[in-house]
Amino acid sequence: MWVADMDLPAPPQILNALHKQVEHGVLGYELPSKALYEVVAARMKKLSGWEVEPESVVYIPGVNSGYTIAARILCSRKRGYLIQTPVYNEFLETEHKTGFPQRVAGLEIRVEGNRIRYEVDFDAFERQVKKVGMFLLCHPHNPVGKIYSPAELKRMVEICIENDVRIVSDEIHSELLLGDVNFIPPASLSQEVAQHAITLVSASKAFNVPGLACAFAIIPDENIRKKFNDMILTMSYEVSTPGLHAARVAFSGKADSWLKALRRYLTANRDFIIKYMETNLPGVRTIKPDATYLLWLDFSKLKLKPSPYEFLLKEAKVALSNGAIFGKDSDQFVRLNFGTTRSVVEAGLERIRKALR
Amino acid sequence: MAYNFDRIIERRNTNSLKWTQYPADVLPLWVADMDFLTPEPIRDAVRATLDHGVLGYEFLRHRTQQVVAARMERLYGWQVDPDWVVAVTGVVSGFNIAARAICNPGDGVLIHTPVYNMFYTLYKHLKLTQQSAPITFSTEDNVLHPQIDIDSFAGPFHTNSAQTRMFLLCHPHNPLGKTFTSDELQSMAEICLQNDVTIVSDEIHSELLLNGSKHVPLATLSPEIADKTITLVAASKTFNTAGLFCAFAIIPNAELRARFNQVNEEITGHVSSLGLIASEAALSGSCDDWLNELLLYLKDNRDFVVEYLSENFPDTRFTVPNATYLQWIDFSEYVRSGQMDKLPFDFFLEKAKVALSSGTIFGEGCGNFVRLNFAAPRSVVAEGLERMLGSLK
Repeated sequence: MWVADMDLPAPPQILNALHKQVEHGVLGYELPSKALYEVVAARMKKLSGWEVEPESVVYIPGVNSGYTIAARILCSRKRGYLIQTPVYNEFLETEHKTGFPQRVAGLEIRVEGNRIRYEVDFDAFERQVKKVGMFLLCHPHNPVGKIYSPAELKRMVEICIENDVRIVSDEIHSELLLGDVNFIPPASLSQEVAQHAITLVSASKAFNVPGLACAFAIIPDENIRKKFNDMILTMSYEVSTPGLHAARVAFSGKADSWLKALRRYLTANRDFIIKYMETNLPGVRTIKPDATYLLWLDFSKLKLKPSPYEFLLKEAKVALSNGAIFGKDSDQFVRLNFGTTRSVVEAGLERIRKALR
Repeated sequence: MAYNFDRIIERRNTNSLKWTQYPADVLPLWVADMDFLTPEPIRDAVRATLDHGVLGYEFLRHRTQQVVAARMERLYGWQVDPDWVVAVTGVVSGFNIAARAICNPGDGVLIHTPVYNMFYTLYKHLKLTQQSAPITFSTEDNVLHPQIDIDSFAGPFHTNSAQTRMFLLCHPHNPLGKTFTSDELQSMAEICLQNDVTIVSDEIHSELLLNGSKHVPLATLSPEIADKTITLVAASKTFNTAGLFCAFAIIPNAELRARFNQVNEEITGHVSSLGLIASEAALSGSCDDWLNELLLYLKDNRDFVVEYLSENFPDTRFTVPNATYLQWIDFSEYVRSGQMDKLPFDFFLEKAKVALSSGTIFGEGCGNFVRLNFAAPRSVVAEGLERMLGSLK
């Protein structure tokens, strides 16, 4: 119950489109059609009312290729990038990959009984943002499942713009909304923000096609887009044609009924786990994610040795993601992936409960 | 024949690069993919994955590495440790990563000229210095025989005020269709070793052998040479899976491999799961009878083109490739005599509505050449040639 893909088949509409490609049978070089960019733009409009010019859409092999490229054009050895820990572990690799310094404005934890939530630490944010060229935002946030509020987004982007810092927003989880919540891309807040933002989207999480390796960067600023495209050529990125086909189908809306059912299923999984934890494992603090299929669990009260991750792997035979990989001070946390069938979720929780008896 | 390579498969209704780049009345004989069906065992492997339906993250499995290694052993008796095999999205990203791992900006990278156009991207993108060893031709009737002269190979080392760090070899050679002999490879490799130059051997066309010609992987010459070599292979040309983007680098030298892996990680490309699955199916040997028939068909196509050119374009000179499905044709005489009032590529695109690859992209002074891709049903190749002939009348 670790790496973030789902144990569920991709929607039939996507699988059918790929089958069609295989049945046509010539798997040669392709260029994305103009229609693909239009489909991506139309999806943004439909989901959040964000008006995107098809010309500002660029295809890339993955969101992590996207922010790696962005770092290379926006950062330097002097001005690094800003992240909010705990955060998606690959964000933390960017320093090692690019040689640009990482600055951290950690999210502030709030504890209410057994429930935790996270808030932006604006003091730290304002201090750190002055040292960077890009703010790498994870929205919705992995691993804590947070959707930033419009007020938080506005304040963060204002501070970025004041300091001439670009916002790179990884929105790979933006279609995995749980329950009745709203998602707003920061770039949709205003033209000015859009001009300062690189938004990274992909069908890979919501429609479970990460293996096809395809994502998009939406870059309204022409100058930044040109630099981004040049870097794609320089680094010689290549995207598979099934990835492009799957994205086109996913963003066209043809699989939206599937997605709706998926969201209901994931929401029920989330609620089931939280209830299970409250009933059976009251010492574990939980978060209630607004999005993603990831649940951030705080085991610090149980003092498991050597760490909750290792303890549960060894004693419960359940592989979770080790909190330590998401930033410092997170080693008492684990991330649980509930993008799987209920029976697997139940079996995993049972194992954890028994190991902690 | 069990496989029907004469069958026309409509590709204009797809996003095919080859078939949508030019207007619909243009016949495309350019970018290097084939207008044939990808063989059934590969499509079955992809179908099985789609039927399973979970398209999650896939990593290079040991089994895939073993399949690549076993193919090298079976085809060439080359003993490859599966751990030497690294997955990349394509040979282009493969030599990009290799150059980053081997060179610093300003360093020299040696190439043969003319050569595959994407080789030149290294100079522009990585700020490396071009060092060129020209391939010359001897001519017999109309036929161009590419030759490498070892003195002109050694000459450009460390020229243009740059230390040569890497030799990027195209073997078999695109666009000249030449397989290098053991002797040629040996003498080139020796000079590289003497100069402490790492060799990156792009062997993507190595299984497209015509006329029973033989491919010798450079790295098989000696352990010393293997230790200085990165070999790039892929199923994509041979089995027509270019759109799936998957290739492999074989790197025996552990230190070089570690550097290559580090750069690969820094770049953060992603090899698609279907690319890995298709490559494994292709290289396992399950498509080898298809390949045997493909090679016969391609050889016949080549002979057809050669015969057609000899009869109808007496003033051309052209290669008779013993590998690849690419023919290099010299129309200099037609330009010189005024029969063509512009570069052959532009002339044929405009007057014959045939899209070839322009010689200009393969190297300086090649503007009067074109590269013709004959990996299409015979009738398509014939129509292309007829259109070209018609345009000269």
